Amino acid sequence: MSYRENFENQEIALIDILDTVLDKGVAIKGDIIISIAGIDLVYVDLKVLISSVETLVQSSLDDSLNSEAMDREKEALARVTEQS
Amino acid sequence: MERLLYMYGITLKEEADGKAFSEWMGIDGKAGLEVLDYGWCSAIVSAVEEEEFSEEALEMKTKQMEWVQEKAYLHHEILMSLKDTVTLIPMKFCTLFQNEGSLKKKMDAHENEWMTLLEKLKGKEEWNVKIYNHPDRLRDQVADHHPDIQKKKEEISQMSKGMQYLQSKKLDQSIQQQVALEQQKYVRQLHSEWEALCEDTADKKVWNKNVTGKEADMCWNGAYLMDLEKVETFLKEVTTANEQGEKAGWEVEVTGPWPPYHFSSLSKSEVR
Repeated sequence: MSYRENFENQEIALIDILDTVLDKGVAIKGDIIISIAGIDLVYVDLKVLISSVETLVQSSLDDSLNSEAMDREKEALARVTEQS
Repeated sequence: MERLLYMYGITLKEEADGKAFSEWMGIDGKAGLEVLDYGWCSAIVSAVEEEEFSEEALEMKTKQMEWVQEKAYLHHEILMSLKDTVTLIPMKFCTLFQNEGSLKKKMDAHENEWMTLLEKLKGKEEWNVKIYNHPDRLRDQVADHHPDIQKKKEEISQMSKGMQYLQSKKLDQSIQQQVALEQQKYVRQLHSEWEALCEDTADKKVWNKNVTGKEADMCWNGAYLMDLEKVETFLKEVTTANEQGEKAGWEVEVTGPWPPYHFSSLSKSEVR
């Protein structure tokens, strides 16, 4: 058996996905500015200010916004996506 | 008619040719993916509605954590499928163009850079590694065996009761610092072993416990880009590290393969 089979496509925490897709990937100058949790994601001049999900978590009033709570929501999301 | 376009990523035209991407659902759950060719490169996009993705709509939507989570998750899912099919330069969440004209301008202006980047990413995979440590074992070890700590303990035992109290507090801090040092030494050693197998590596932010929701300390968070044929060796080393470190409270968590999110920045860090 290959080691790959043990690791490939294991469950990824939603928080990890958010941290990555909000922060990484090519920052290309699109035409639209969006703002998440009061932090501008400025694609127009590409000053990408969001530092990480940590900022999101800390700016949230709801303490339950941690990895565990997010994973519960991710399970719910996964069910929705499977159905669609 | 002007169409608002959501861009998922860029690939080589020759790889995208003949793939049935139109059967894949876009981020809005309605429109299928489209491949638009620009020279040697292709942009993978889908049309989205103004009601959900215009600047004004996003201003509102991005304040709703649920919407952000759902869409960011979908964005990731789509990119995961894309990267299984073609060499992909992944876009950030919500990379949008007002119309095909503005997309074309962007694609044409940077064709050479996309080509160089795609050549670099071809045949490679991104894997992410997080290293956790349950520090109890390490703390005991430091407290009982570290020479500096032993020396301090010896000194404290000679002091008056009041001084002993103060100094023990300080000693706890020293132990804590020493544990953190030992943790860093350990993860740096592992990182350098894995780095040797890689084309490129990237540090990610180490999260605090509020974020991880775990008992253990997160000591390392990193991304690794490597040739497909090196992946097996890398994962074997991770497995060995997990077996050897388990007793001392170490836990190595690997996820992947990811779209190469951390290795897709252009030499000029910004694309204008």
